[in-house]
Amino acid sequence: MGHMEEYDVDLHIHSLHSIGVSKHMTIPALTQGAIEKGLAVLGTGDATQPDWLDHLRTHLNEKRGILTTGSVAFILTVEIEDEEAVHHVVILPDFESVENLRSVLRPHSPNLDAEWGGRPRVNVSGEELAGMVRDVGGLIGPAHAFTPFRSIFREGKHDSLKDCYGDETPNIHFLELGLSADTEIADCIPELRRLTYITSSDAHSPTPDKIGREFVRFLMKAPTFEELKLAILRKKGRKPTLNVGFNPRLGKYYLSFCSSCRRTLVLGTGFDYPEFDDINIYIHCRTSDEKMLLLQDIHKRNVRCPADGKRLRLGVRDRALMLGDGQSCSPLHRPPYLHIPPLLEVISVGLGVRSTKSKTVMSAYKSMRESFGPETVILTETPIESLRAFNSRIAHVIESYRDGSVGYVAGGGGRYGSIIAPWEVS
Amino acid sequence: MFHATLDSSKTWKQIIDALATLLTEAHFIVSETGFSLRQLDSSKAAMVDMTLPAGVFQEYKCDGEYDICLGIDELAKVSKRMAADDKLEFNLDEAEKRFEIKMLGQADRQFKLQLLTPPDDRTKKPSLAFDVKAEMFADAFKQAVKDVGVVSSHIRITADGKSLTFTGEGDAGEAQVSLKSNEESSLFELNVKNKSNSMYALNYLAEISKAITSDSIVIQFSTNKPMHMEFAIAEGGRISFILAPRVERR
Repeated sequence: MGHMEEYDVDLHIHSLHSIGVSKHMTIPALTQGAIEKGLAVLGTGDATQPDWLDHLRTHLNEKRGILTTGSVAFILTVEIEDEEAVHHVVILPDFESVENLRSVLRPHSPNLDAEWGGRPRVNVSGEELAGMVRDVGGLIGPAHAFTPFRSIFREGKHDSLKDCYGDETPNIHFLELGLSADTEIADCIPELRRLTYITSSDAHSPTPDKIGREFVRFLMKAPTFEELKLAILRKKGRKPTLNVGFNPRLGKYYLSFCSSCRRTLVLGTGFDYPEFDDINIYIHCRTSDEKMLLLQDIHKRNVRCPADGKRLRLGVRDRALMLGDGQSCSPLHRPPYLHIPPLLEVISVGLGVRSTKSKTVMSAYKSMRESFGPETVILTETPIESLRAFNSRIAHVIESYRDGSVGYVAGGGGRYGSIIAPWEVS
Repeated sequence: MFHATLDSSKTWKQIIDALATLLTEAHFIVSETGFSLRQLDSSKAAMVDMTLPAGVFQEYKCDGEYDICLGIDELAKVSKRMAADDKLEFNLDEAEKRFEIKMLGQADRQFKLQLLTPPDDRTKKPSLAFDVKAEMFADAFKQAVKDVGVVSSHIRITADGKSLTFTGEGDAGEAQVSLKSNEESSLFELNVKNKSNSMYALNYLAEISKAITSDSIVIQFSTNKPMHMEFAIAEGGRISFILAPRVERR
């Protein structure tokens, strides 16, 4: 094995054998999608599903522990749901360990071998599941840890890693942040600061706005499980060097929200009276104690929406603030987190076209990718003059993103956030 | 010990219904002088302030001061079971931490509700200054809320030196109700320091309106600031609400 290199890795995707996934999610389509997005390594997703396993064995070539098709490497991964409907990302060393895991899971799973069992349900606790994964030599960590549904830290479920994984907690080395969370949010919780954070797409289709919309850049010697494990454990010089993902404001569950009218909660500082408008509720807290009290009361369902009287629920940011000690503090090992907006959305905002799936947007996307390279390069490196020559309005949006002046309408309550065109920022 | 009786279950139900529109827990303080409740939830978006003097009740005995904190959903469910001609009896079981509600009518029924832990701090009355103070017949206010409710889910209240206007607009159209300040009007006091207009959620006002049994009501507000409304309940008691405004930020 050669020198250390940086690999862009998206570990969490699903195959056509998971519910709600595009029938185009096959290895050839994924490979093409990865190349278009500039990703070096993909998780296979759904590795324990028998038909997908056959598909993987047929399409992937193995050489010195590296599974590849063309220029893209694959690592065996699967998302598993435990008895409390908490989702976990599992990373496995080889096909043999996949079979071993299938054997130990089978007695506990109603759908391991089912056609749609890509994300199997297993009737064991998080602790037992973590033990099984450890026994077969794999790694496990919470999936999309902060989303309000099917995640470890959703309201009414676990308040800590230990609560979920029990005695296996020391063997948990990573956590997947999910689209509505970033490093700053997760680092509000002290017990998580030792973990490596994974940013991944959880893509259900191979289109460029889904696959690789979040990924991790790892420094390692080869795209193998063993190297990835060292990188996640940050040993022998291997490590994550960058998390790339949405600004959490663009996620669907960032802000706390009214469960009925879906107005989202904007917290202000200082003293002012509460008020509300069409999309938000504005509440001001003078001190952090006041804020914590409010969040705890929302958690206890004790705060009513001033617009319609229904009870408020916590979003990802406020749930993390409540679980933690109220302030974000990142450890020294934490790599930077690059917030990237999806290029398709940047283009649609720039062109003033509402849908990211419109022909105009898609054709501009294709031309830009052909002219300038992968999305991250376009968003972070391509000279603004070159972009301006292509389209001045799109260049203007990218420029405002790069200099940090881009505005966001924060998402929440199931509504994605969005970017505001720089010429519309007041 | 604490013991009280109330002849009118209707009065009690109206009070509980009004509290339930804004609160999730009702934190009563009972003392020799009567019942009181002052609550501002941690969002500070809505406040209720209520006093029920001992004289409201037919029998009233209380030695000392007690916190009686109850879940509003449970309290509302029990209150729904009250028949119109039931007489009510309230007792506090300190040892078992229960609040007893007896309904004495065709049958003698008894409910015991578990007491919740009261909050650490008691709410202080926020010092609010308002630009508009208006006193009117309660019925005029109720009708205005109903009229605007035909077309809108919000109500805009506008006051100048001469009139108080309630307006609303929605997909179906617009509605407007004006009350002029003159001798024949149902608006019998209007003090305006500055012309003001502000918007509030109609469903809250509709719920609170249902609890108004008094002849008159006082509302106070300023532009894009909370509204304060106050009225008499149960011969000698008072209840007031503070509501957050709807604004147009974007």
